[in-house]
Amino acid sequence: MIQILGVKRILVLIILLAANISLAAVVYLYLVPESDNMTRQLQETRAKIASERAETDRLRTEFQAIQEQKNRFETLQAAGFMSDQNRLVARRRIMDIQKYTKVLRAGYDISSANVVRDKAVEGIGYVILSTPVSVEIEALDDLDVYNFIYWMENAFPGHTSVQQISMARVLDVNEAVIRQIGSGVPTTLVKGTVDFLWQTIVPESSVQSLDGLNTGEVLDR
Amino acid sequence: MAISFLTPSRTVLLIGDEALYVYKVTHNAASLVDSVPWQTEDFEDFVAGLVRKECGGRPILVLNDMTDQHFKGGQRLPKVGLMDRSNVLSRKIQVAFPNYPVRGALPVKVTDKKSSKDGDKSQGKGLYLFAAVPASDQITKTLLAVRLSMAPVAGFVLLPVESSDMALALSVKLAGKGRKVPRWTVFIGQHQNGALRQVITRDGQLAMTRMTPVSDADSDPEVWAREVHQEFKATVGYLSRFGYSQEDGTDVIVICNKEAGSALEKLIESPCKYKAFTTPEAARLLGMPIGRQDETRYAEPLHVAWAGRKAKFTLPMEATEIKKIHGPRQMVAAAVLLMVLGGGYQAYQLVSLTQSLFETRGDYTVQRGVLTQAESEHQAEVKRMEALGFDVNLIQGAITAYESFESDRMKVVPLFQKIGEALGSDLRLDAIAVDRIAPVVVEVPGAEPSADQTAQPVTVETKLSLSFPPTIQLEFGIREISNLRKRLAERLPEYDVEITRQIARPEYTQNIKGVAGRTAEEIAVEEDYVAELTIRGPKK
Repeated sequence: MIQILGVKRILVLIILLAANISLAAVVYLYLVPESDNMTRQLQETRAKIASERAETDRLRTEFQAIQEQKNRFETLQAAGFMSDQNRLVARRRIMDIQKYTKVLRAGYDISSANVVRDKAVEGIGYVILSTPVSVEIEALDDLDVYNFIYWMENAFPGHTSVQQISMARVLDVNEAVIRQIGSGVPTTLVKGTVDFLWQTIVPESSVQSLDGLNTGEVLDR
Repeated sequence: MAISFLTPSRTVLLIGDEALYVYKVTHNAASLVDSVPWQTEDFEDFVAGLVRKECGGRPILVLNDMTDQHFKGGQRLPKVGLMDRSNVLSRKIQVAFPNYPVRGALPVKVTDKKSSKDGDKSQGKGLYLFAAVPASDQITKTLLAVRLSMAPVAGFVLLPVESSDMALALSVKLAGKGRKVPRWTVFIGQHQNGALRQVITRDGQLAMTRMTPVSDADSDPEVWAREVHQEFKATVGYLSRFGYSQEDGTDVIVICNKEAGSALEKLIESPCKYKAFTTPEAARLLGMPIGRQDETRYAEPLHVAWAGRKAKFTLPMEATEIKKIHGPRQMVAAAVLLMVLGGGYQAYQLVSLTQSLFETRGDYTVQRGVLTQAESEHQAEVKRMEALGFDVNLIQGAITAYESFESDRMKVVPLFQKIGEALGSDLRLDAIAVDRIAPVVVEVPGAEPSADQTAQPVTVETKLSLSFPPTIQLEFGIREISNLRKRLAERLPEYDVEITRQIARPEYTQNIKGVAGRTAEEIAVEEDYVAELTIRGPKK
């Protein structure tokens, strides 16, 4: 075969074959993967740019809104929404509300707080402290009870919401009762039990230190 | 003539009876490289060396000009399908020339006026001229030299067959535009070895060829003319067997020097159009440059240049020896072409991808810069937010949590207000109980509650209890309770209000015991004057 084809022709063939293989190797083993890789990196970079710009735009848009939200946040902060539910403060506040609303007696039961993880605050490293509070109220008039509920919901530190109310008239108004009231003797005409849920948010890191929180049934007049 | 830069450049090996003539044919010249006598020592190596060195390894065309060429005209193929035709033709040639190694078949175009008039057009179909060259030492040596030269093989052809269309071309040029081309053309030319080659065509196709020895024209033009005239007369005599008629018209074209041409013209008596050319004159007429020639009376350069520049041969001969050389070399040539094309494509890919890669890299660098800028802008915004003095996420999280608690709040105080209004000044409640009703959430396994389900307002159930003194008239009490329900429903349109217990209407769920036969007062004390209403809502 070499006699027919000749060394030169075979050499040309081999050189061309080698050139083809070399070119194919460069193209398919280096250039194509490198090109794909570079294209992918470029796309990722473009995606990052789009993401950064969107985030920047969002921040710019929210800047105004945040300034408005800041006032509300400060109000919430001042109202103790981010407090660690100090029982002493709670006790004093209930006493204040009792005196202000003129209910005759408010016996309260503040349970130990439950730590609730919630999506709304999980991202910022906070947890919810959720405490059931039960108050037994004795009053001369049911309006005093409603007043008590109103102030518990609006003047208690953090967020307080009514869960259950049970109220009944215990005495009918008759001459004897009127005389008793007139003589200055505290007379309970209405009795009721109101269950509240007291909620605040605290940093997750402070939860450990809250484990030893004093809770219990405290009765006060 | 073909366009010069597309004209094939070849080495033509002209096989003569005494020697092998090696010609180099380019687009503007047909030059004799050397004539190698057959008896030359190491003939094959010498010729191969000439082809490689002097001719630059150009593709070789073997042009057979030997006396020993055999033709069989009028060979008709049986009617066979297109697929079988080549096999049948091959077999028929083999039968016609069983012992000849080089064979070929040329389809014949029949332009016989009689046949056309008769309408028998099919007569011309399937007619072939068979040609063959017997095995000879000259052929063997030439093919061995071709093999040793390592040059590609363009083909093996017969000089008279390939020059037949040259004779026609000259005849057409002589006729010019206004004149009808004669049916017969006799082309006469002397070769260097002294042989006189006559190529006779009818309607442009080879009708006959003769090769006879004559004296050299330079020695005595008169003698040469007489000898050629004798040969011409003999040719015309032969032609009468092929249906030659003087009425059809005849061109006689002779390649020689001027004196010999003039002498021959005087001798030719038969009616014909006679024209004598020197080789350069004929080449000029054909528009075929052949370069400078030392001898202008020999016709070989014309034949060689004409055949050597053909893109498609009139009758390419088939030979096993040629195939053995040509086949592998053609395959290699095809492989080389394929690899050159493949390499070209890959080179294009390489350039294209490299360019694309550079562009992408450039773009990537630019985009990195843009990203850095975008990041710094983002950081600037974050810093601006931080400059507000608080944690934005904390604000949003705290407000979200507070709003979530608020949405879960029972709005009892406004409810009490409406109940108080509905009761008016005459009615008083004995008891009130407010409780929340847990929302009904349809749980789908594996799915989290939807936003609509979790955002439902809190449903509150409020139970009111009232009592009347036993002295009251029953109908009055019932009417009061009914009116109270109506007032509550008006004031609380978002709530469902229903009387769950009407006065003095013990429900079927209660147990009743008593004694009949008592006074009306005793009965009144026992009667139940307590009513209950339930307010449920708000409605969704």
